[in-house]
Amino acid sequence: MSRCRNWSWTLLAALAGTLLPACSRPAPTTIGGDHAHQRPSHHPGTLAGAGPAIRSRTERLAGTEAAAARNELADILRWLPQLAADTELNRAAWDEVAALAARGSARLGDPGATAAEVAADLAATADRLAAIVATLPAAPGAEEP
Amino acid sequence: MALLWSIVLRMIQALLQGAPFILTGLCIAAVLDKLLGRVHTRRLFGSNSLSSLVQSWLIGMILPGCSLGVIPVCRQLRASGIAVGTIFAFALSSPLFDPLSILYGLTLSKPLSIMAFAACSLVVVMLSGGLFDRLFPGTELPVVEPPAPPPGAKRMLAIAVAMAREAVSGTAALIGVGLLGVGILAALLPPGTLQNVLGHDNRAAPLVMTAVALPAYATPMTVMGQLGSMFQHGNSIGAAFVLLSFGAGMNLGLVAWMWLTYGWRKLAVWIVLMVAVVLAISYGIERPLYPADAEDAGHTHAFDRFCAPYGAGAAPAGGFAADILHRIRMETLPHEWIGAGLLGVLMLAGAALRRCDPAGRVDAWLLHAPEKDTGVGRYDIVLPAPVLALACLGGIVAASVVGCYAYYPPPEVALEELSAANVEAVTSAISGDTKRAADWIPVCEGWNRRLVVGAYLRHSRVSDYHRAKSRLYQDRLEELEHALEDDDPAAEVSRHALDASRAFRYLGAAFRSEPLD
Repeated sequence: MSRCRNWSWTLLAALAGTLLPACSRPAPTTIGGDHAHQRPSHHPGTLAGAGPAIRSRTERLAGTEAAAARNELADILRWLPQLAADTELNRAAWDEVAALAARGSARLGDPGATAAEVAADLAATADRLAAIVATLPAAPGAEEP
Repeated sequence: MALLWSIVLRMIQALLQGAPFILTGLCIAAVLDKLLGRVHTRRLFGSNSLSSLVQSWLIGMILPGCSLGVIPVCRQLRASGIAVGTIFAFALSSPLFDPLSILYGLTLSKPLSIMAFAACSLVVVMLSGGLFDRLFPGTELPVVEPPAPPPGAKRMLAIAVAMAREAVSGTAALIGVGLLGVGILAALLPPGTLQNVLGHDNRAAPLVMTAVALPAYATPMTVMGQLGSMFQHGNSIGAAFVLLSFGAGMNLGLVAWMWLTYGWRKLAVWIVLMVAVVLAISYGIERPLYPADAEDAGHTHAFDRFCAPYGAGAAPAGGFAADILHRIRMETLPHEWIGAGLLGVLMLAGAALRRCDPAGRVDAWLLHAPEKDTGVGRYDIVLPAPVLALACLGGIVAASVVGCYAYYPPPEVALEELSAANVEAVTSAISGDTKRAADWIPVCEGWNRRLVVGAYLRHSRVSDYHRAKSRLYQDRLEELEHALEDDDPAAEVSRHALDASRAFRYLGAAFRSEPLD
């Protein structure tokens, strides 16, 4: 143990001795640039914007852009709880939005559901969202999409 | 000079964060030495068997520690003749988790990942330890039990003396080497180096993290915070596991101890085994554990603390020394100050003992039993030393659990602290005091996490609603932080500050008026 003790002090001195000359080097340049979190273009921004965003995409579910619409719908439904958190909704209403999002996601991923059925269900989700948003007090500058 | 100051700052930060754990490690080592004894220590940990690896892993998981704090314990385990694989298993597992960090981890969005990480760490210990003991059988040492101090005050004093002597022994040098590892990283990695290389889609992320995490040092709590940030920002899960295994589990001081004690050959085999097993697991869990709802932010600030804090042309206005003092004052938590103070006292006492009593007369006196019965009261019970040792170890675990309640206060207290910090951050940002705002945002982030964990600790559950409010506030704080870092226009910064303020209002309303469970 004594030999280990002596060598550990020697090692510490040697390492510190190696590091010290390096300190005279000029400081390196900072790496990294813009840190902004980029929101995808289909992000609705607010809960109030989510209902119309869902509705506009459900209308495209049966067309040629169905795949893109499905992907965007999946994203919007995933973002719903966080969008709802950025409002004055109480817990019961927030829980309902979270449940709507979970149900909508499950329906969207259901391979047995036809495009028309999914569109109808998600349109109902958008209606319910609109009703929930209508209960919120108007907050200028906070809730507009 | 910026490089020198970068190294100084990072080493001081690491020392202050590690001080409570180093103190705990010194205490555990002294209790094993003076109370439990070598034979019983070997029985407690086991040696040279698969069951001993599980025992060591379990003890390591229960006892609070960090990779610097395990150095004195490892030295004591070695003195108890325990096989190398078992010691390494303890050394790797003890720094990974402690009650504070486990609670933190369980309130992250993916607690399952944390539990999976804990299970994977057992696999690492079993595989690498088992293989190592097979490659190098017979590493146990014959145990010579030194005389034990007699029951009474001398027994307790002997523990304090052992801690003081150890605090200035080779252990101190090895801890210094561990801290130098942090300095070396700061010298090698310019500010922001690791912000964009640890994404989920970067196949080399676990490899990059291995190179960084081996010389790095981080406390369990720091690593848990980094893991939370990695999960949230969609970083590589494999890299997160490497960070936990090596960033928390290893440091240069521990590697140096292994080298000096067992030689370079055994060290190299252990490192190769560890790296192979950890990397294999990392790549294996990358897809299954990747959170489906993770938002890939494209960058992370979780590892900024491994890099240099000062870049070229970024000299602080008041000078480096003043800036370092300011940062230390802002960041250091009360238990870290207390740990550092007690460690300083121990080192002073140890240095005095070394200078005034090199022959160990104090230690000999402590071993000497009183010749006459000094009158033991009828209700006094002389407890066997091993019983006291186990009570001490249990006490350390209990103290760390009690510490959780102090560190994570009730929600109303956390909200009060958070409210004050939020006002500082928001008003500073709006008034254009970028530096002050940048100082207070991490304080807000810390209290936001402590709010959720404190609620979880007292109610066993925190609803998704409350988590969403906390997450929203965290996101808004990050956006404000980025706006400040990127020198966005004042109007943009003010908008982010008001967003953060609004998110805090929602958070406060949720915790005050809605049921938590």
